[in-house]
Amino acid sequence: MTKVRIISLLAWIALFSCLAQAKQLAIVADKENSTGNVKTADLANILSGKTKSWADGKPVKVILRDPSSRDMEMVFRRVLNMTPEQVHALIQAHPGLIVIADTDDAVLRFVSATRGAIGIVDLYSLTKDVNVVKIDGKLPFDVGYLLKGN
Amino acid sequence: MITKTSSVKTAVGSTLIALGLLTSTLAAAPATKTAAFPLTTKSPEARRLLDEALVQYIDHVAQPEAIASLRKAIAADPHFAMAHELLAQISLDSAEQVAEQKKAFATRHYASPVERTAIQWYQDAAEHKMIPAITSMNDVVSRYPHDKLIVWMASWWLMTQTQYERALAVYEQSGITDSPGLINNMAYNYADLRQYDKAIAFMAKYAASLPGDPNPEDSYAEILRLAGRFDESIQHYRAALAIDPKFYSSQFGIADTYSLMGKQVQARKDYKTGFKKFPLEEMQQVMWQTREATTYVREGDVKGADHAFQALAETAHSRHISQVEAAIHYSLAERRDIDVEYRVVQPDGTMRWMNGRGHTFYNVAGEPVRMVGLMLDITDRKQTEAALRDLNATLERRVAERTTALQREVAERLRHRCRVLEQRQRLARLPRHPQVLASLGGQQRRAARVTELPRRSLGLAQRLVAAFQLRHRIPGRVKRQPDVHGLLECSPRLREAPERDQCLLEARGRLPVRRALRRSRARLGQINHRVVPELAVPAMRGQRCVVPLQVACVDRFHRRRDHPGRGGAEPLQRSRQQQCLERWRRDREHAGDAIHGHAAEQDRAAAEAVGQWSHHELADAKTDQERRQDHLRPVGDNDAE
Repeated sequence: MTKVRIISLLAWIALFSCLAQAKQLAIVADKENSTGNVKTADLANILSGKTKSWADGKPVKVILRDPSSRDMEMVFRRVLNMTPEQVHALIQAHPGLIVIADTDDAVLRFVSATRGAIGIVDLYSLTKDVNVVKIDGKLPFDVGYLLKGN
Repeated sequence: MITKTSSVKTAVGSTLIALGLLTSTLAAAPATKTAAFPLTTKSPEARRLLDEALVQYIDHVAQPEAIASLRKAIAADPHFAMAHELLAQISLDSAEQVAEQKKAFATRHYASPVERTAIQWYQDAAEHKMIPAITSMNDVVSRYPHDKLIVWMASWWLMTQTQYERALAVYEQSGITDSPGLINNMAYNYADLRQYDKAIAFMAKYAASLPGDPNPEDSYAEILRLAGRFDESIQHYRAALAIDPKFYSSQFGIADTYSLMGKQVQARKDYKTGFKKFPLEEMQQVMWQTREATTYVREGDVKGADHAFQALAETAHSRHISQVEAAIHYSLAERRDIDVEYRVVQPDGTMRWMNGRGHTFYNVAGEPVRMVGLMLDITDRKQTEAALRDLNATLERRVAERTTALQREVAERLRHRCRVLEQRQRLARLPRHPQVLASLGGQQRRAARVTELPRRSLGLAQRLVAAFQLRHRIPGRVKRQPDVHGLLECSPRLREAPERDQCLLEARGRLPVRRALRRSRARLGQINHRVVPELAVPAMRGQRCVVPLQVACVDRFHRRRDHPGRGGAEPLQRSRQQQCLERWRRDREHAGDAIHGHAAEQDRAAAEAVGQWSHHELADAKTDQERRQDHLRPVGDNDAE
């Protein structure tokens, strides 16, 4: 009977998985970055290269996963209202603007080791080595968070 | 136009290379990566029992045995924090889960720092502090990525959070390949990600690792069915049933599979076999009955579906299952804890009341992912409540009956009072012709015949009369209209007398009326005969009596004159009487009337003037009262009128 219960629980998980394949993303910054909150417009300026330094004068360095991935497509669509092709064009036009990493761990290590760095990672990859930056005053678990997956 | 993939690789290729060099230098492997997760306890026996529990649960998927071993380990070392934490995670009792989580948090100071981090992870998750929980989890996983316990803890927790990719990443990073429990979990993870080939491969490995166990075959069949390989699925379901004929989920799995294959008749046949063969809990019964009813929908038999769902609804409603379902949906919608009471039918046919309490956990996206709950048998409490309700209903019924009786009694009294008032109004409407007015005295005397009143009633009546209070109101033109408007009241003490009953006692101021009439004829020629005091008061059972009442008239000379039944009958003080007489004479002289010299007439006139009886009238009244006491009798309304 216990095994049946386990099966039932797994079935529940399977059921909910059909309902929600959500993936939450988090904006992370290095521990010394005092910026705890950014507005959507500020984030758009950072990702598009218009904002090149923080308030304390440190240069902004952006590190992301593969821009063609589903998660990054969502980020650019919601923040910059750009299609993947436009994102590729932006990256090609501004070489060195965005650093691409192959894993979330790599993003986290880069951000934690680089002052002024900002990255976007899967929420469940968060470590204590980075700070989570709010977007419009909202953390990933808040209602209306911008980078909530679907 | 540059293709998407090539453009990205071209644009960022050099950057990736640079980053790879960077990360390779940054990612120095921690020294503890190959070490085992510490399990701190002072008791070697507790440690042995915990290791045994981990093998039972992770490798053999034997949850009850693992729980028992953990409980023994905790008994051997109550300060074994990780044993508390593991029992909190795998216990089947939600109350125990909560209690053990609290104990783990309380005893964390006996554990190592990394154990504390693990305990803090679960504690934060329980308190919905998800970001600290995630960072704690990743901290522990990064330190011990190859430890079977940590991999199981992290992957299972991530599964409950629907983070399948992350769970798979933790598992794949661990390199563990020989744990049936982890393999089973990962197979479902792949299935959830629609990667059925990998899921089937993992499940085949799982089934091979535990031969003779029906659960792997059943899980294998479920994954095959999800992948659309129905025939193979049915084979594995049958294999599970061959291993354990009581493994009822496989029986209904067969039926579900036939239904998905479009073989609805066969599916219904297998459902009915399952219902007949296995005693099921009500919720499971309803769940599979719902699927059975769905077979009619799939084959387009609307009538059959309607019949099946109607029967299902009736069954569910009769057992309050719908209430449970509604409560669960309500709690999910409102994000509140579940608290519902419902009935269950035991295998022996007896009905028990249950109280279900549960809590739902939500993932970061806000979707419900897990429920923990507790069932309480509240039959005794329900029986007590029912008995209390019956008692209250009985009391309410008795109160209502008594209230109705009282209302009836009050209504009866009011009817009697109304009749009395009607009599008074009739008297008031009589023409004020002197002859008619003169005849009123005789009518009232006839009405005042009261005979055959028992001795006790007579005593009561006398006491009532003695308690009457007469309030006077003297009109403004006293000389012209020395009438007395009287209002009789019964004292509250006598109203509450024990002899009070449904009978009426009428008191009529016969003598004062007669006197007033005489005076009125003599002086003013009219009288306001509303002075006739008349009151219905409680008397003896079943009798309505008329008793004489002595009401003193008050004129302009003396306002205080009335002590009904007693004061009015006392002889007047001589000096006072003389004084009144002189005044009366002056009035008469002023009016031009002659004054007769007869002493008795003078005395009567003086007494009338002051509203009291003269000596002669007092004697007459005593004689009359004694005569009436001999003839007291009950009278009806008509007689009184």
